[in-house]
Amino acid sequence: MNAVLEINDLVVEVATAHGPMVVVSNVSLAVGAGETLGLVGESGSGKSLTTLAVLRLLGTSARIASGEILLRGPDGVLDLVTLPERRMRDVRGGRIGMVFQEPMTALDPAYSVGEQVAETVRRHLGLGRTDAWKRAVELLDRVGIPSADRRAHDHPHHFSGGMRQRVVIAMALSCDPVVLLADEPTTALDVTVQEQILTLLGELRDESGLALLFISHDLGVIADISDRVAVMYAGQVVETAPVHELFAAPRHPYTRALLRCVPSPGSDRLATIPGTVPTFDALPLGCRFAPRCEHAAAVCEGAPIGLDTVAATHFARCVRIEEVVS
Amino acid sequence: MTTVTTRPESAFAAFRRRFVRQRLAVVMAGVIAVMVLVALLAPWITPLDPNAQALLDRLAPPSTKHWLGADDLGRDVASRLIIATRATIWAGLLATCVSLLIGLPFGLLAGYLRGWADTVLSRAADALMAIPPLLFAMAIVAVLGRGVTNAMIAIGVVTAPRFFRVARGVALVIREETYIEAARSIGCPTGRIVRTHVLPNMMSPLIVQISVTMGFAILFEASLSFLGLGVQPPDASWGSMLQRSTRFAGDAPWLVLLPGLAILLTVLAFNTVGDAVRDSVGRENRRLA
Amino acid sequence: MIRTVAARLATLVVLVWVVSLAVFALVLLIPGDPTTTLLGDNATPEQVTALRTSLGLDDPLLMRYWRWLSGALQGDLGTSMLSSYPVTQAIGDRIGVTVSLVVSALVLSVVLGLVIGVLAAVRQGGWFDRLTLLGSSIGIAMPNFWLGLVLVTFFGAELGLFPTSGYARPGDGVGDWVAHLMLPVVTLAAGGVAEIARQARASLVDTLRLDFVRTAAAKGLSPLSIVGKHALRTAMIPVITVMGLQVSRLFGMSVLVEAVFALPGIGSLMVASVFDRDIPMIQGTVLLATVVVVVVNLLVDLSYGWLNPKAALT
Repeated sequence: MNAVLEINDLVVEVATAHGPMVVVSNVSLAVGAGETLGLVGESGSGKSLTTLAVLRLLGTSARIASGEILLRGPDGVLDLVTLPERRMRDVRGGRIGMVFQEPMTALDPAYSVGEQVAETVRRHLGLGRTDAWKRAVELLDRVGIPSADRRAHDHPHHFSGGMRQRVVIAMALSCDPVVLLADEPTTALDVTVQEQILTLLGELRDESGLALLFISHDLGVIADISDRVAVMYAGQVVETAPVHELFAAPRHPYTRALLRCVPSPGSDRLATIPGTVPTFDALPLGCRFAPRCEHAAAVCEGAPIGLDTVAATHFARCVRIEEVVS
Repeated sequence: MTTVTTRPESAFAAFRRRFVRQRLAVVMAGVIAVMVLVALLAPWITPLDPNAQALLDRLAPPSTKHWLGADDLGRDVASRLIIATRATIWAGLLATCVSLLIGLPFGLLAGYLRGWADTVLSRAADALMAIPPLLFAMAIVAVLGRGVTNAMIAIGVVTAPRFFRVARGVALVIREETYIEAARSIGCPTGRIVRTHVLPNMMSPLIVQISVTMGFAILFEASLSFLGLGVQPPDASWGSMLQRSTRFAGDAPWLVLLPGLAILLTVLAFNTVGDAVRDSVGRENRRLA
Repeated sequence: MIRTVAARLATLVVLVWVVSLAVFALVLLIPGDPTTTLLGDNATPEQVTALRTSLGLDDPLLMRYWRWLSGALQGDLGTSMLSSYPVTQAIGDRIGVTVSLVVSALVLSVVLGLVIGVLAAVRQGGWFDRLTLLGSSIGIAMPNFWLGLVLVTFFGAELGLFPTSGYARPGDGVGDWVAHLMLPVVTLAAGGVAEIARQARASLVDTLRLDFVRTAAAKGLSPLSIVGKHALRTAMIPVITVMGLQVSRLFGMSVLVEAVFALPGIGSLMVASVFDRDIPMIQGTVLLATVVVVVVNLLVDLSYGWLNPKAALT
């Protein structure tokens, strides 16, 4: 498969009082054109940091320690880890768009939504003010803002959460990116609005054939939109598989536990995973899930566990898959 | 996995831990302690009589006799600085007490009663805040007569809105707290509610405001004394020392530098400690501070 | 918008009215018999009678207040107790000096304070940031008249670069006017620079953490555009508040600066009036200064609406 975005062995460190702490450990992911990769995990599993690392927006406290992030385009392959900052700015909002979790705070309160979309267009496509505004209105119309030509003049506080998220999506897609990063784009929204936004994202992906990296802690949402799924736990990818296979035949005990936590009709009791996620300064040497795992054995501890091939497109980071499944 | 159970840290211990981490603030708290000590002991620790004139020592530079030199009347600058500390700390305390005694009860009343009482009191506070404080203090001094006591009462009056706002804000928030309702519902008398719930919650914002007001009052005491409206001769104040110094600045620069540095250090100390107290209050209480 | 302005104006009128009460009440605070307090024990009966008439002490209180207030509304703030010179005219003679001083100091504080605050915030934790924090703490704690004295000592006695006292009217030569204002303006502005720099830094540091700043970065905007166009506009709101407060502070502090540099402005008029206990002059000066401060704060309030359209609604 020819991936548009390919992350290889990404390591992200956070600076602490006691020196750097690894919070994303050798993560490798790939998304192809027109494909959706769902990235799932609890908060603090490193999924958001991984996406922010792609745009190099980690801020001052975190940094990429090693690994490569490859962006394939007609003009060849760019490694975003080593790309000069000035060219990185052309990638942000141009080649890669991003949608954030909190639509209520993601927009600048001081400018009209039309201006905020048009600004991106002017920046990357070099259009003049009038043309950029026209394009902004078209985009707002495309993402489903009613009477977009009038509403474009309104400021963000006149819009509901769902409508604001549409604006953010319009902004992210304004310059025809090849990759869209969506970090929990529906988490802060009502269930009905969630559904609409998911449908919209799916449509847009199919129309323009962009590669979608979709982050969520919600397995239901992931199942809805993804083609493939990667499950993260404590900074590592622990299992990756096509969506149907993952849900039908999960291999890693953590994935299995997560699936049990999804409320299903007919069961009146919600399962929970015992214990808590280990903190990054006290990670187990071996399997990071072992302290909470019902199948843990001596073999799980002592040495880091690698990703094992389950099937051609299915990998899991567990040494006791046979015992787990039986 | 074994979990270590630790006793939850008390609010005060958490506060102390955060405060001590701010090195500069700890140093400045030490400065305040020294200033207060000097103020208390001033009459006994001056190397020479602060008011004794010695015309032979007129504008004498620093020496073994006059560590920090002598002024235009030959008075020992070190002794005058020390004795002036007393006037300064006293002035600050007086102004802060006046401010507190006006602002606190009216603020609590406004926040607790709300309605028209709140409106009237808040408007009065706004009006007082709108008048440039130095001008208002000068006007009060003009009416009541020159002197440090009148000057500090004036400063106390103009800073009272700060305590008013703190007290009103706390009263407004606490009014809505469920534990107050709970206390009321089990028949706790109002006086006891105020003593056991309201006052402890006010402590940190109050300490912040007291510290900042001390700094403000000391700066204003110096300003008014510099204009000749505060501490009256022959008594020494850092501000009045500066006033005399202007004419001899060229010959005796220490007369200009030393009292100013004393004011700067003292005000800086109170401001820094006030800021550090505010920053050390835990998130749980921050909205009040 | 019009309703907001109208509401604010109404508040302003109430505020000024309350202040006028407080200022008028000053006369009532005079301890003992005002005539003895103000004129001393050796006053002649003629002087006492003259003072009683000029202060209107024999009239009922409300009538005196009404006369003073209605006069003030028409621009007549009474006459000086010592010279029979109209207060309004005395203020008018001197306001040019104070306004030049305060406006120049305000402009300097705002420009310098903003530049320093922004530079410190964008490199949070760097050496310039730490220097700014320390410098602003010192600048806020420093008595500005002392800075003036130090400048006079240094520039006047040692270097002789700028005149250290007196005033020159701009009509008599702009160069001379600027030279005479140079040190006073620097003295007066120092505290303002410190306060505005500190607030601008704190506010921008907070704003740079907000989500919409990350969105702006994700759009591929340059750091200049992220800070200048997006972050700064929101960060300015608390800074504008501090700027509004500066006007009041500068007005008060100009009294001290005028004293240090012997400038014939409102401040020195105020000092002289306080020494002379010239009550009408003091009342007029305080009332005028307060009106200026209140009007500036109204303008500040209205600017919030432009900076943050959401605030305009409330």
